[in-house]
Amino acid sequence: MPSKMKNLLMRALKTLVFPACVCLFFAIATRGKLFTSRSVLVILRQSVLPAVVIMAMMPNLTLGMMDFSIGAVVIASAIIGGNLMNMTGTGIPGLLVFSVLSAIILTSFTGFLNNKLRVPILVIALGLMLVYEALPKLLFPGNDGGAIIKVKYAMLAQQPYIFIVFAVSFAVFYILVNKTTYGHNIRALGGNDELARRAGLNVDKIKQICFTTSGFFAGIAGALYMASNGQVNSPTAFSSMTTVMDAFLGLFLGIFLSRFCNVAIGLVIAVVTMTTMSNGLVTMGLDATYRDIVKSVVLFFLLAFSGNQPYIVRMRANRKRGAAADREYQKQISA
Amino acid sequence: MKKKPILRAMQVNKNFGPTRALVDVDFLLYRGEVHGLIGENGSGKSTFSSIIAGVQSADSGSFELNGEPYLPRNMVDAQNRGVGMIVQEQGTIGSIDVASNIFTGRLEEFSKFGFVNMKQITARAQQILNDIGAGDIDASAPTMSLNFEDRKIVEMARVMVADPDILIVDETTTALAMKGRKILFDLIKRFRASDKAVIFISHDLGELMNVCDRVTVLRDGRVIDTLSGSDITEDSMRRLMVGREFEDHYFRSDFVCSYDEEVVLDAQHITYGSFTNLSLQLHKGEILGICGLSDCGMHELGKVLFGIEKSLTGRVVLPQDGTQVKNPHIAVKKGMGYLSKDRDRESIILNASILDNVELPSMRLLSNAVGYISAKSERRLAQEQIDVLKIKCRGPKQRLTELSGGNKQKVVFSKWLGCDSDILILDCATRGIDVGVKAAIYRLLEQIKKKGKSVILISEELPEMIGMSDRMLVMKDGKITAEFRRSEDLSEEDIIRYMI
Repeated sequence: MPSKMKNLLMRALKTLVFPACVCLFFAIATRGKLFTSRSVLVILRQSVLPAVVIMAMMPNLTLGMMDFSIGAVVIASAIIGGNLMNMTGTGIPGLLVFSVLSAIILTSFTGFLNNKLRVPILVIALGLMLVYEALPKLLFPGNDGGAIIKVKYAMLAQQPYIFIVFAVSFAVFYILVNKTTYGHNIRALGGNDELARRAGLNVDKIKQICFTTSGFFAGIAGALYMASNGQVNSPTAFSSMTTVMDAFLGLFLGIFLSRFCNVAIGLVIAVVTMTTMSNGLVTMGLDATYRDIVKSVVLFFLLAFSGNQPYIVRMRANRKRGAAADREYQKQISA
Repeated sequence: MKKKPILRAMQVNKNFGPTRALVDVDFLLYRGEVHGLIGENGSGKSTFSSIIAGVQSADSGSFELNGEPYLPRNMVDAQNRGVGMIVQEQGTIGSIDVASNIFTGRLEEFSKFGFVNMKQITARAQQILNDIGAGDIDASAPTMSLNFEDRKIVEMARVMVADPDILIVDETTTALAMKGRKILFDLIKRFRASDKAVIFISHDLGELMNVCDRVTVLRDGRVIDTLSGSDITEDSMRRLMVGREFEDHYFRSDFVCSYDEEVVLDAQHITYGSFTNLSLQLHKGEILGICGLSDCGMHELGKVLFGIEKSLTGRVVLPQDGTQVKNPHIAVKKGMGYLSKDRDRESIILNASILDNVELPSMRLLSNAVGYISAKSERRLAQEQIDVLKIKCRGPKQRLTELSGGNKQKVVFSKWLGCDSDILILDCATRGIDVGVKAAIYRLLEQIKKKGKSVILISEELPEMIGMSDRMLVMKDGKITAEFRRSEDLSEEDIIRYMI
């Protein structure tokens, strides 16, 4: 087998080994209940929202910036999109367009402040999270800052539409990351911003584009969130963070998997794996508290294993070499 | 034939706060010329060259490039106008591939509607690498998979993308082994042959003599003199750089191999990296030289002796009390000091002040019974070291990021001198340091030896080895191939035979 092919197969195997183990475990533990065609569709459908949220978080994360306000942006754009759709009667296209536009405005504003104030993104994101959580209440005081849409518009969150939205989002994300100057520039900037600046990259502009792109995906996530819930209330006191928690867990696993495969593909596999785990635990009858604990513990172990893998490999090799050197030394002495 | 000027600098000034980095600098560079720029650390060489390369701007003065006014806005602007620079520090991004590194900032040239053609970029990058004689580097490989030298070669390829008329080489050769040096010197030859020009910055005076047509000497930001032809000698360069005549001896004046019989460090059948079952002993009051080619294992050996890397077999022991050196904590506690070759990554904290760096191994000496360290004693220690090693700085609180390369190296040295170490392991201690400071460090080593302290001197510079060591261990492919004792008759040729 040519080495390139072998290498590709090995990488594919490494990418899929953990997801396959998770599937196998839950297939046995739930006696196959989790993998009926209906359950699989549910898992895939439930994976779409966190997957799109991850796409919103990934560009900034590549630059070393964790934007914690993204959950608040998703909810704010859902409420704004839902209300504007109701006001204009534009239906699902309106929901998508208004959600995306509002999210782009909000994340662009985050990027603008980040560039102009030169304050760490953590500080800005936490501050703006409160502002974005309060924003719907200011804009739509009549609905108490929330939005309700008609049941017929919930079909955006049903198959096949949800998968069409996902496919389009994924295609845009994949192309942006892998095939455009934008994707290459953010990787260069994430690697070493000073060198990238010296090489002539417009660092502030690239960062701003990153936030704007992030808004595009956050807006799509917002529309999906609105459609899948039917009614969304404005959050308070950082509660928007819970919206992105599933995405966070998938994000860490996705970053681990991206060592063996393309980052975009790794993220999707990661989200599906985490959703499978979540649904598997539900099927096994665990309540929400224990589900979160189990998911977190599995993730900790996985990250610890991946983080220490080079060390483990080196330790094994060292042990072998040490033993060989000892034997050689004993021979020399006896000779 | 009359030489044509390619670059002219007139009355260039640059200040960093109260420090005058450049004072009325006039400089002329001709086509077909390799022009050396030398001076002590902090003399303004890197500042001047970085202004030419567009990294920073001058406060006043002017430049002419090919007779036209030249004022680059940034590095890319300078590159587009024909000035490329290979920098002293690492200048590649590890997280992207080699081709993307070579074309960072130029991807638009290979894009249509924002879509980048990676195949074309990789092919072009490979072509450039082949062209400079580095065809063994794969343009599609992740940059982080390359070693330090290959990453420097990638930088050279990046500079060549814009096909510059002027190449600035800023103290790059110290980071290069044989392969990288060959590529660099071939490039320099090519520039000279094609009527382009090179500004060559180095502390290696022999290298400067071999490569340069003219050499300009800077001291305290001022141009002292420009030497050409037979005037370029090591003595004249040293004298102009330092501003005084050197004493008779640069290295140790004696040729006596003198040290106590007492063994202070004993390494028995240690194995790590490229060496296996290696044994050595260091004696009280001895300067033990370890030399060889860069990849012979001597740098790894230094790390094992200090406990940074764990030997896979055998052990490193301090016979005085039988302590086994298992890690740097034990080593420092027992009075050992280590100076790494990779200064910026392993020997200093760049974002901290001189004071923070110098006091790091001395905390236990500075603190009282309850662990309190007085600000006064901290400051006194740092100031003492600044004075002893003549570190050019505004004061102990200045951050290391603001110091020149050589002054950073002095801070590393002062760190271990400050805590009065009994055993010093110095890995390329004088790398990137100017002749004046080198001489001072050699005097310091002599004093350390006289006090009965011991030094392991790991170096690729043979004159330094011969000039300073009591005993010399020559390494090749992880093995000790020869041992020499200090002697007046010992020559570089004697040693090289066992290195290569």
